[in-house]
Amino acid sequence: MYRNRLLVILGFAALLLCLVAARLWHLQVVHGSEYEKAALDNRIQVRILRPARGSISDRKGRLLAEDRPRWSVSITPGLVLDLQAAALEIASAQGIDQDEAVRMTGSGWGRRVPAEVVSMREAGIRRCLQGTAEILGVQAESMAAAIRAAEEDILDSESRERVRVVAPAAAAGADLGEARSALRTIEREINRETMLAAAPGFLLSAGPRWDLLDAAAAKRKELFAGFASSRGPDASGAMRKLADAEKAAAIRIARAARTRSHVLCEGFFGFERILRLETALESLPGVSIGSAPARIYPMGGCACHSLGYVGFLGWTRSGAGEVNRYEEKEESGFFFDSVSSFMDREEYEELEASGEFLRDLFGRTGAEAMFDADLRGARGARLVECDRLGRIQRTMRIDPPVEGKSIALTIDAELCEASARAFSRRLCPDLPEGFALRGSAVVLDPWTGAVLAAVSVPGFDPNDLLPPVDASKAAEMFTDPGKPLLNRAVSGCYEPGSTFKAVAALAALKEGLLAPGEIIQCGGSYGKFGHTFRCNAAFGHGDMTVENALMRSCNVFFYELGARLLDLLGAHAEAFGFGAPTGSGLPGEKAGSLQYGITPGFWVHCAIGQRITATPLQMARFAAMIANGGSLVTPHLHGPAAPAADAGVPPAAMQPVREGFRLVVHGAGGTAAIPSLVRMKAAGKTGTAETGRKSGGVSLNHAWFIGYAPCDRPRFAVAVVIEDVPHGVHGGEAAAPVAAEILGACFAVFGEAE
Amino acid sequence: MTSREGALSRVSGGLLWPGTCLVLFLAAAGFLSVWSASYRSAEFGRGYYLDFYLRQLVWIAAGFAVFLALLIPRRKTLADASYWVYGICLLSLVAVIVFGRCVNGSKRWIVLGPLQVQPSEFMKLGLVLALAKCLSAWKGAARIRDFAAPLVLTAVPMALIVRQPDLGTALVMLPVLLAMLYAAGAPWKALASAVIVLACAAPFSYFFLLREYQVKRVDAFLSQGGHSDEQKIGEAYQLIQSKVAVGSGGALGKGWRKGEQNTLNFTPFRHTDFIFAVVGEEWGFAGAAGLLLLYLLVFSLSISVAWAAQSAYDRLVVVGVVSYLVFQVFVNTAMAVGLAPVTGLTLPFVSYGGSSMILSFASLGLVAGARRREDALRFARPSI
Repeated sequence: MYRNRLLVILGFAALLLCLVAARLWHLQVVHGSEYEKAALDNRIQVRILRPARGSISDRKGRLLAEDRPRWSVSITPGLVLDLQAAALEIASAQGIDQDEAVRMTGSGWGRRVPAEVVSMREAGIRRCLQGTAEILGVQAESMAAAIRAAEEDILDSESRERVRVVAPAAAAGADLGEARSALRTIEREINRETMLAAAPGFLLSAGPRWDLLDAAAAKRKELFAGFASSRGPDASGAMRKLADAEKAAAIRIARAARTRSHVLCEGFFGFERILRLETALESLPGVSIGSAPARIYPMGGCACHSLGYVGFLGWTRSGAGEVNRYEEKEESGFFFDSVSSFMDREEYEELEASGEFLRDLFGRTGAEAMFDADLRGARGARLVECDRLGRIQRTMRIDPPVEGKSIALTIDAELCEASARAFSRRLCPDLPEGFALRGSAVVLDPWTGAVLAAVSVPGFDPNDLLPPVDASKAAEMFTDPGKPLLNRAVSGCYEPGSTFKAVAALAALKEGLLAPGEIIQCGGSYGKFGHTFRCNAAFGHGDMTVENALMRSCNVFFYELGARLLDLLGAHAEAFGFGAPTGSGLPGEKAGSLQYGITPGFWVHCAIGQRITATPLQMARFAAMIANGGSLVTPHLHGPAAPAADAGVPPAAMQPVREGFRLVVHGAGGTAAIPSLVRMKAAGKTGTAETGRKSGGVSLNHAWFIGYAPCDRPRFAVAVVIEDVPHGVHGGEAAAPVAAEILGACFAVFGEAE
Repeated sequence: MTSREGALSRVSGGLLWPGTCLVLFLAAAGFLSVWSASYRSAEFGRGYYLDFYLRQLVWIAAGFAVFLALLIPRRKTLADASYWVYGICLLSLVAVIVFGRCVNGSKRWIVLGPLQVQPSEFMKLGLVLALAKCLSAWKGAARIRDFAAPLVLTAVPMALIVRQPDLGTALVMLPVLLAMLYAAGAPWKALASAVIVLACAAPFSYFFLLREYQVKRVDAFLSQGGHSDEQKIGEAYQLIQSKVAVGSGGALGKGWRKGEQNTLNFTPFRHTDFIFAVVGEEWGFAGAAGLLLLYLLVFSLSISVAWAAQSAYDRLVVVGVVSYLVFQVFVNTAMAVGLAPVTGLTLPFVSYGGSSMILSFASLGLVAGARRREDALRFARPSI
């Protein structure tokens, strides 16, 4: 009866089940925690929350730069098609069972998706594009173009990935360079054909385009044959790896394409349109609306140079070579530090590879760059639980982003606007017809050093430089001969001309090399050190005191001072802030040039402001020093007044110079005797600096005016320079009217009385 | 004697068998798991899966009805019908070739109105009955020519099923044949050498017999140490996710309907082929091992029925039924824990599905029927 054999059979069954039980023990009890972590990794995702960048306002709270919600309409291709409905449709069309159809359309565990599903999804996406375009009033084609651009991005990163994977393998047998270049050729050939041949793009199709991939594989084989034969057996390994990587990449792309959302269009759409779209979302499956902060400069080009603009980090010229600022920051851990509180290094690297930080905006110039650390804020994160398709089920934890701090600048937007407008030929009728004024004006509070306005003409609209930058517009800005991007207020170095005579006067009076009231005679020329120096009045000014010499801008008087001072002039210029940056911290600030004379004749020239350069900001600060009686303030755009240095000029030395400045405006024969300046009780000094350059046979000069108003109790110190005015037009005719307009605006903005 | 017994008392006799309770308990556990697997489906937002557990109730009821029905026939009736049943099953396999519906490249189903039937499932039962009938005729030591009939009986349906192709179901027939030959008294040396030959031939099937998708599944199974990127989202995906689900369950599980691998849709085919991954995740080692223990109890009780059986036919039927149930339970659970490559075999009484559920109940119905006949015999004798 073979009964015992029954026990053997049962024993065998027990053995098999014990085997499974042992394996269960191994998986669940011994390695349970590892699998629990794997399960967590499966479903927990970190969604980065980007902070809004801080806003920048002027001293009265008018917004110059701010982040506004920028709407973005996205599509998630995986959600476009209701797979159940699709399955039922396919089931009824082909007469197969519904369960089986569901299995088939279940978007596969790496299986090929049926062609019906692909085409149904593509049709669905087209419907969504059309519907969204109609409501938002955008071109459907432009959305398709946006998607194609996203595809290119993914492709680029994928091909980089491929080089990383394959190149070392290929190089095992030979040198890396050769392998890389060969691979690059191959990639170029394959990428286009594989991925982009599909319309409306592979991102929108339901799965990997296997047909295209297969074609690419054949092509790759052919291309690789030559490479392999030259490399020997080592290359076949590389080729296999390439093939694997390629397929995996394609699957990854398709998966990303299905489960992630892709931006269709972005913009500051009106609320009304967004509301209409939101109500229509029911009929647009897969479409979602999001908003993210985006930079905007509401006042356009107003104070553009002080304000600056933001952009991506990338290659920049630095010193001898080019430096990749992004990689620099990345290597220094700048980006990792910003997210290290909610992700580990590995997750960070994945995020970094996705380009998250490449899209970071940094202040490029101006206040945006100076206060970047304050303005940028810190990223936050949302830990979410997702299903297999990456759809969020619930939020586990939120680390809210820290918004950037808002910065109030010392400048006044209205004054900046008016200052920029003042650079107009209307005010300077002596300038030739069609002359475009270029130059800079700086207005300081002479007591604190607060920059009230700093303009550079011509300017630009920083909105044009926000990413995505219109390449042709940007190129135009960069190649414009007027150099609109140059912040002349701090980066423009100009010979100060006669305005520098005040430096010589102060130095000589302070050193006792010129007594108050001392008379020097001007005969129209000055001969010393084997050279004849000419005055601006051919027949001389006659007997000159320092006040008169400043008023008439007599060269001979100051030639004499230069000859008396020699090196001392340089030392004092330095003490008055020349030859060094002012400490404003504005990006691109130049020091100007202040050399020490090789010959005594150098100082004679120097005393009338030639052979030395200064920035408008330095000149404004110098004007402020005279205005406040000898304290060298630190110009600043934000925050409390920086400590001022005492220039060490005794009142007795200051007094004659201040009187001279007053006479320039108020005296008979003063170089800037303009009624409006008189009315404002302004004081100042004009300057006409020879550049040595010529245009059409006419030599070009810089026209200057520095000064302050009112002269008894100064409230504003100003410096104006106008570049390249033709010979014959002086500071008093070109720069002084502009300065008068700007000072007028100062009083209009800040009030007539204190 | 037994003929005088009423059909009703025959049914109630079967119900008294403790195995019946255990089987109902298994089905209840399966029902809960299917409920959990269809409770929240992220894949199909509008709830296609949501009613699976209700349908499962229908299948359990239908299966139990079949179970009860199979308690009724007398041994002679059943034995006489064996070849008929086998023949009908074989015919339906041929019908699949002619009328079957082709899905995903394989022809396995016949459509009967609203139902679709998988004849290969029922072929297992037909084979067991026919082999039992054939082998119960063996007397004394088996000779070589005695093997001819059982081999042919097994080879014909196997060939038809391999042709569908449905390798998993076809393979079930091998242990059935071996176990029944063994129980019928075939020389164990001959059987052992057959097993060795088959084991040696298995690797060759990888190169010659298996189709591409099958080769890939075996590859994915063999490369568990480190899957390639492509495998991770392709063939090995099910394997990895199932292991993660089971492993993350830990010792005591995450609780009913609380397994995230399940509810967030990471575990593939979880209401059918991978239901054991849901059990492992939500009930932990305690639940999964307990389920295995439950199976072992059912098998032990079944074997005890065979032990007590007076008739060789009954004994062989029980052995055949137990052998394919054991094989399916083992292959299915081993697949879920990464001990076997992925195949389409269901977990008896637990996986969702009509054919599988009815077949499982029918199998145990035959066992309970055999037991009932023994009882009847035992109780009937003294009354003579």
